[in-house]
Amino acid sequence: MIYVLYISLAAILVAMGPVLHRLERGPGNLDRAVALDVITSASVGVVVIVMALTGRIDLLPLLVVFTSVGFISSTTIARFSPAESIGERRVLTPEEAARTEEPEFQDSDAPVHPDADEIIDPEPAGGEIR
Amino acid sequence: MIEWLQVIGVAFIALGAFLIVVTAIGMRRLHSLFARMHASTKPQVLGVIVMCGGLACVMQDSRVSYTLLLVVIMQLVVAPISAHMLGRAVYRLKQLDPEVIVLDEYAEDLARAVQHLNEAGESESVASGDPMPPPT
Repeated sequence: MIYVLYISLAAILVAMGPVLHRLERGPGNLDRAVALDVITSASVGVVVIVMALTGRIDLLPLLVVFTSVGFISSTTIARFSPAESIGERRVLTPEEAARTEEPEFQDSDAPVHPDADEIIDPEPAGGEIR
Repeated sequence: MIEWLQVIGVAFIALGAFLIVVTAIGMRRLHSLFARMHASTKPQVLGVIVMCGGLACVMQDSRVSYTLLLVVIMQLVVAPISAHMLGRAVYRLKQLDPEVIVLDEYAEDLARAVQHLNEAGESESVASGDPMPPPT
């Protein structure tokens, strides 16, 4: 029974490899948010297995914290992620960075989130689209 | 300590670990963001429920069980919210290849809402005699 738990722990840790790969590659910030969600759930799994192995009850608040932090992180990224152009979505290779010289942040004036304008603007042009 | 209940609990925990492995494969192989969100939901909801249930069966302590119940309920409340926020942000920021969407009901709904607003704006401007630009 203990071996099953050890195998599960090893499986989770190995499974984090592809997810970390996705977290690094993207290609967008929202893809990374999804990967981060998966990593948070996997850490819940790791804590559960450690608790089952050692019988430690004091790790229980960790589960609650992981759950709430995962929610807050993904929701915040989704709410405040700016519209990013294709070139900004990943880390450039040195050749690409040399070719583009100064990356132009053309979209820096773009709305942070389409909803943000509706909230800031006290009188929307003609009603609300919900 | 009930022995067979612990065996069931360990089996549940192993099932949860299996779900996490399945998700990792999905994150590696699926190519659109909505498809990856579909994969990421497995350990978020079913995996957490199964693993917390298994841990409750292993520990067999009422305090632990109640806290795990809290975790499960919180995850059930919170997972749809974050998934909804993520999916809407993906759609509205147009970070999605339009070809991966088979059925796009949200665009139809938005178009209907804009049309509805335009009609309402026209009738209102006729009543007040004040031409109003159609909302975008």
